[in-house]
Amino acid sequence: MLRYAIGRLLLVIPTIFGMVVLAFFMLRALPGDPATAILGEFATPQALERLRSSLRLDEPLLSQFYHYVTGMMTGDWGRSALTRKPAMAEVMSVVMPSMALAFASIFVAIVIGIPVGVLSAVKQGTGIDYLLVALTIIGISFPVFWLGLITIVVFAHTIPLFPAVGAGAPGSLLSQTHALVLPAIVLGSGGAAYIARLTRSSMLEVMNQDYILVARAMGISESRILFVYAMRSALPAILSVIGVTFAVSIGNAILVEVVFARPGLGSLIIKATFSRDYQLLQAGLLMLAVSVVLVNFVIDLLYPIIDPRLRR
Amino acid sequence: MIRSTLLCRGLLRLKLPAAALALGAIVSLAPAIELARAYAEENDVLRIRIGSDVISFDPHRPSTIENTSVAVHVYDGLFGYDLTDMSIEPRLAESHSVSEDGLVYTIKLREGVMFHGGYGEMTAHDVKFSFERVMDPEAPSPWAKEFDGMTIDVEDDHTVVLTLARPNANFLHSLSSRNQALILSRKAIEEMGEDWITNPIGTGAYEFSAWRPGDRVVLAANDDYFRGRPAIDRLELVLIPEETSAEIALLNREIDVFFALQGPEIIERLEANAEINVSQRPALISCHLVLNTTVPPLDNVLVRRAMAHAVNRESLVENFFRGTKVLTSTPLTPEYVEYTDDVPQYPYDPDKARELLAEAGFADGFDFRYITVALSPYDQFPVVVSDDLSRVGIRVDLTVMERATYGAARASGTLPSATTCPSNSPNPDTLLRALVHSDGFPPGVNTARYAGADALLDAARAKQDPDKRSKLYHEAQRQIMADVPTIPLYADRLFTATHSGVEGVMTSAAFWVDAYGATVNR
Repeated sequence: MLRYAIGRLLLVIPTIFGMVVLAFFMLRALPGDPATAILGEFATPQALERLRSSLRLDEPLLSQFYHYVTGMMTGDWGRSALTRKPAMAEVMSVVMPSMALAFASIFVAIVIGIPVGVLSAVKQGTGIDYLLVALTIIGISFPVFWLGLITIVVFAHTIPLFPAVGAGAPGSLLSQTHALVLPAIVLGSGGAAYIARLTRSSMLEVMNQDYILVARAMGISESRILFVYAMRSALPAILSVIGVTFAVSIGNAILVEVVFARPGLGSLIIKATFSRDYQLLQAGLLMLAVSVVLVNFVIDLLYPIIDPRLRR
Repeated sequence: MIRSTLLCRGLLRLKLPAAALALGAIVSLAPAIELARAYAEENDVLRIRIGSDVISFDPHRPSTIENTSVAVHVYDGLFGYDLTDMSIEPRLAESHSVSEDGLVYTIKLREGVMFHGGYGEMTAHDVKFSFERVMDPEAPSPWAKEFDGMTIDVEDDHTVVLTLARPNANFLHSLSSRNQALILSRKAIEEMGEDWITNPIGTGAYEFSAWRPGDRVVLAANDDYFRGRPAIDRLELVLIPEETSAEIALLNREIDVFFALQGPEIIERLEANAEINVSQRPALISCHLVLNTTVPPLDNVLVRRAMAHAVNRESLVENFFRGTKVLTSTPLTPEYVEYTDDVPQYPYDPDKARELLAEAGFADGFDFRYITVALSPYDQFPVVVSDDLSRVGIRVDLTVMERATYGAARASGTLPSATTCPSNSPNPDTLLRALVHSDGFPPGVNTARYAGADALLDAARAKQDPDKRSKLYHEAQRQIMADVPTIPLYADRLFTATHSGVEGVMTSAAFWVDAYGATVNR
């Protein structure tokens, strides 16, 4: 188990490094001049030159990359070219609301997705099953943006239960949690639908196995068969879809952030992209990559726990 | 995982649909709404919606609506605009005199004006420092042209002498702008280095308190403000990009002021709401289809005139924008004192357009690349304009570019056309010089590469007599509209919705919001 964990961890490092390299060179392949994007179209040639040299944009690509990587190793992420704030400080200021949203939406996805999937598998072929399958199709196909606006209109205005915008008062966990409910439900709904569909099919597959038949023949109670024998075999597949859902959630979070006016990594990255703010963009992308990689690392560690066959 | 398994089990046993469970969870959170209400009902706070994040607290950098809206509260200039009629009034200046040749401005500063945060009294040295900072060719300020090579001399701590390189009758405008004219604290910048940008120090009615990127800027009342302490203790500029969300936030009183709203449907809905006041004022921004006068066939004035006749601007304003914009006959908007309607007119007339095209030798039309930027509404209305153009036989290839790509492409000066809404200063010279004077050649926004009105614009700037100056601006507008380097599609209007009980929030025709005189009565 320890060897497995170490092996997985060792894979994390090249993954993140690969991501850093990719991000660096892809950003530089974007059309548009960062200096003009930052200083505007009336900037003097001298000011543009000076900004380019302060950002090392006038150096060869490889030299820029060298400075970037060595800076990163020593914890120096540079300053956002646009705001002149240290890039990592700006990223860290939006990481908490972003992570809170991502994890809350995964929680919503699991809490709704797994029971719905199990119920739908157990009731296979009945009206309930068809209803739930239809609901999951709706859940997958509703655009997040639209769903977000509808949710705001209904649950922040018609029935004023939650705030329409913002991430809550800083320093107040209660207020932040309160402001998190609607965005988490909206962002989690798509994931819930995926998880429900996958749970349903995994459960159906397992339920047709011989050992379930044997368990039934031995008179074991139906709920024990479902949750102890069947669920356990279905979990690895469900777990892997949770990892994917997390990555998708973080990507979709930009839409939720815009609708609910929440600060977050998604909006930060978009803002940095529009203004070609490489330093900020690199710090933001790295944070994003690290969080996705770490979540998948944790999921990798969970596999052998839930599936004894993987421990060997 | 264990938790959700338990949930499943409970669910199966009770045979409850999942929806009921979710609903239960939501209802059990209902008391939390009290929290939101309490948060929204503080009396000493005014929350104003902004649509994009603030980029910089350095007012000398390129301005955005949001940057300026922060800057007007934190900083002050020697002069400023009275927002009711956009007339110029002294602020940090107490009085001024101009030499007869119009070149030397002697400005007496108000005494005892203190910078925020204990950075001492504002003096003539801060003025010199601030203006030289703008004029430094290496500085990141695009506004150096506004000061046009002037020299700054400190006579004593409270007197500064500005000597212009050539007469500029619009110079008081240049000293009133909310960009280059704002006065920074020399001491603060020298002590803090780069960090001052996120800890701005000014003399304004509000002190900078906090910036949470992606969320809001918080400002606190300046007890020592020289024009008197503002009534509201705290100002929050809240970022809400999506207008529908902002609308609900306003109705819920999560914000008090919905600044710069655009959506015609939202304007109509809020106007119908008794709890909301929607104010509007004509603005100083005009939006253009700029035609590159050096690229065939656009180098032919007949072709440009034909295109102006082909575009149904009345319909664009009335139907697409549902009357939320206004028509303008020149690059200036009717809001400028120097505006005139007495210029060559291009009413919608497709037959005339076809005739002109035929006369120019393009009876079968031509291929035209219409270039615009991926920002609402500039990625939408060009579709309508393209349709108009195609009706007279012009084959339009509409290209929508991502923001930074567009900026760089436009600055290259090689684009055949561009969608441009130039700077929003009450100074007519700023707008016209940027859009249709050779000073604005790319990397500026004169992508038309039009210089036909240079002489008139330079003469107008130098003329001290206001009436004669206005006449020269009229002449310049006639010349520009005869040559049509750009088709002025519409002039903007600024809409602001406030919750009832909020009084005194002022907006500028140049698109910023000023809450200095605001009061809230909830």
